[in-house]
Amino acid sequence: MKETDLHFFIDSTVNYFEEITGYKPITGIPYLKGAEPVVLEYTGIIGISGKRKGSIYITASGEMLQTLAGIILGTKEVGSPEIKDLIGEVANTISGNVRQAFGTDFMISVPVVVEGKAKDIKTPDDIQSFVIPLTWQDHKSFLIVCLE
Amino acid sequence: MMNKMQENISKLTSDLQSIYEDLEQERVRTNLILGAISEGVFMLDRKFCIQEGYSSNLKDLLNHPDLAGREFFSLLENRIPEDNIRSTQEYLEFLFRDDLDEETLNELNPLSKIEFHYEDQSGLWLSSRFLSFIFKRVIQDNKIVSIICTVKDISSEEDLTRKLEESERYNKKQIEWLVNILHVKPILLQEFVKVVEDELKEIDDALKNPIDFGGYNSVLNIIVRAVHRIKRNAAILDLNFIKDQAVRFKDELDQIQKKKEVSGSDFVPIVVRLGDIRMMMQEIHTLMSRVKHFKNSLRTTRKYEDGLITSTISELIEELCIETKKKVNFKYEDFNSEEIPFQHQQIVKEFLIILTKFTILHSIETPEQRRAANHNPEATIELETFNDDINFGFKFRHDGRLIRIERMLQKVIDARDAAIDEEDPIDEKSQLGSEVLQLFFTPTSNPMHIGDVNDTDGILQDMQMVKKKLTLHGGRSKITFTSEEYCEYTITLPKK
Amino acid sequence: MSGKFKLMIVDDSTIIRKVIEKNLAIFNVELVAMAADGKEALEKFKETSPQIVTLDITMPEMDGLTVLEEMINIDPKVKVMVVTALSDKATGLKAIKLGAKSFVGKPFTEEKLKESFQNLLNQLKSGE
Repeated sequence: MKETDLHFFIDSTVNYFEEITGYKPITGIPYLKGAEPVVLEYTGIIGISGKRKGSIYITASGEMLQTLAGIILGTKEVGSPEIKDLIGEVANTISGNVRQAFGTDFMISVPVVVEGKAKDIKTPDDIQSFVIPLTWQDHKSFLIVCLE
Repeated sequence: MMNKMQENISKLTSDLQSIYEDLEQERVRTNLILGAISEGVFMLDRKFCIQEGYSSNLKDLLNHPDLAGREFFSLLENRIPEDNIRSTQEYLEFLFRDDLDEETLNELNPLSKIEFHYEDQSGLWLSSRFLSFIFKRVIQDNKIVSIICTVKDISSEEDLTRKLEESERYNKKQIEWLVNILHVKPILLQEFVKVVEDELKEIDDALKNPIDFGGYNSVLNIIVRAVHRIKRNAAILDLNFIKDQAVRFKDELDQIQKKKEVSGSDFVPIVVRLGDIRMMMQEIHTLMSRVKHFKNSLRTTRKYEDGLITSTISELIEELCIETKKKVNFKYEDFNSEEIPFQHQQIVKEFLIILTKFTILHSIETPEQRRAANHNPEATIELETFNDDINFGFKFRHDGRLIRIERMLQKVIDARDAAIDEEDPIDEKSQLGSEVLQLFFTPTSNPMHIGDVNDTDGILQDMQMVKKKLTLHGGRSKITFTSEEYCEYTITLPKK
Repeated sequence: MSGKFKLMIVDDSTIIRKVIEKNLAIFNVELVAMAADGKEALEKFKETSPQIVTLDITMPEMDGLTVLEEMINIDPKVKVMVVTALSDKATGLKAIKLGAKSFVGKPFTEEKLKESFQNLLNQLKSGE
């Protein structure tokens, strides 16, 4: 994967949070994912097919998603279904937005949402995964990009 | 009269019937041919519309059920880039101009090899194929009346060519690496791989916990030094392909270090480069296991490998002496590198490099200073190994007199010739000793203002790291001062 | 037209459906149906005959562009606003080609959504 590819995802993520909430997330130092799991309470996964293959996922705490959903819906009454739904939507929007850069042959799947701290999220073994730590309003989350 | 007329009409009808039958047979034959050929064949009129009578395969290649009368360019929309459509338009317009040479124009055919994209009914991308369009003029009565085109699916050829190119590139690279690797003693290569992996792990740890490592700039410094060590080790073994990668990495790091403020996304190129190095190391592993069986019979041993550590130190002394205009006599007759247990080889080398740098930069005086103090203008650095059943150790001795530290040490020396061991119970003497060690191993407490500050900081930070490694290896360090004659570092490491 | 315009919201995300519903509540519209996938969308479209539809593209069962094509076949007058994360121009153009009247990229602001919807309502009122 090229450096510019990774930047597309970072920009798309930063843009999402800024556009929706008015607050930019702070991008931490990215690193290569090793054997250790990078999973928080809720994870939204998107499969990528077409000319590029792989997957991306974003993982976040329930607290962060609660705050985010609260801002989007303008209410404090946010339940678990909304939170689950939101993490899928975030993953979908981030990967959908990068199509502008990658082109129409960058195909994205519908989101798959994993609730609870899974052991780890499986990504293809033969493709390197990059972890981008994000801090939005003091909440930590991670974007993982695994692209051929 | 009437009969004659009827006869003529009958003949005419019969002729027409015969012509019609011929034409019909011709049409059936043409359709059979057009239906049987695997290429797409069609004719374009002057309005660039596809004429009746095209091969049935064309429908599949252009992914359209009914092509007759369709404008050719409209069929290219969303299938190939817009720029290509525009140049195809120009090219075909030129092809209809009889003042232009067809052969020359063919060189400019934008569709001679083009990736054609296919979509489903709702416009979503499905797949792509490589197609080759070849255009020829159809001339009647010396006039270009239409253009005939054949379209061929060349995806498998293209795929094969690409795979071949890729495989050629890969093989070339592997051979290059293999040649490089075969020159290095397997044990050294193994050691090198371990060093790189340790360095990469250190970088990973720093990237994952930037706050614990002192923030973004500190992390950057850690990476710079780790990459420098990888480069240095690769250079020692002549592993040029890794050295080159490390040099490129270093250049990128330099660019980032120049920034006034470093943010998380500035690290993106670093992580991508790290990924490349990781993949390179994986391939080296594969190569190493491949050459395992025939390595010894193939390789030509380089002489210096037997005394690699001492030759590295010797070169370093030479370099630093030129740089600082100092003179050093290097003695290593009692240093037997074969005694060093494999697992400690790297740490011994690293320790020696650091001590040598520090000693020449900060402990050894210039020949003039030494002469003025009534000493041999040429300083001495001596190495020695020792062994018992449990431990392996080495000594690094020099006769330089450190300008500032010497004063501090004098207190210890005045008390008595002392052996200061970090592990000793705390008393006044060992506390002073620890302070001295602190000077070497803690960059923040560096009291010296000799030489280049960055360089000194760098060495001290390297020392701190080597010391950490030494502790991890279960080792101990000790500094001994005997009157004004020499300063001796003793490093002990457990054999198991 | 004095009555309310019939609106249908199609998106696989509950939260996006809620956001659209909340933001469009200020307009003179009656929400007649919501759907979470393409198949459900077409069924409800036939049942409720909405005049305006907000439609996502990436959805399970049937993608939004296929749904759009079907909807236009059923009711050529329907005004469809595509709301999608697929922000590339080609997808936008494709949607317009298939008959969508408006295109809003995700993530969207309330203002952007309302502005686009207002334009769509104006088209409907003027009988375009």
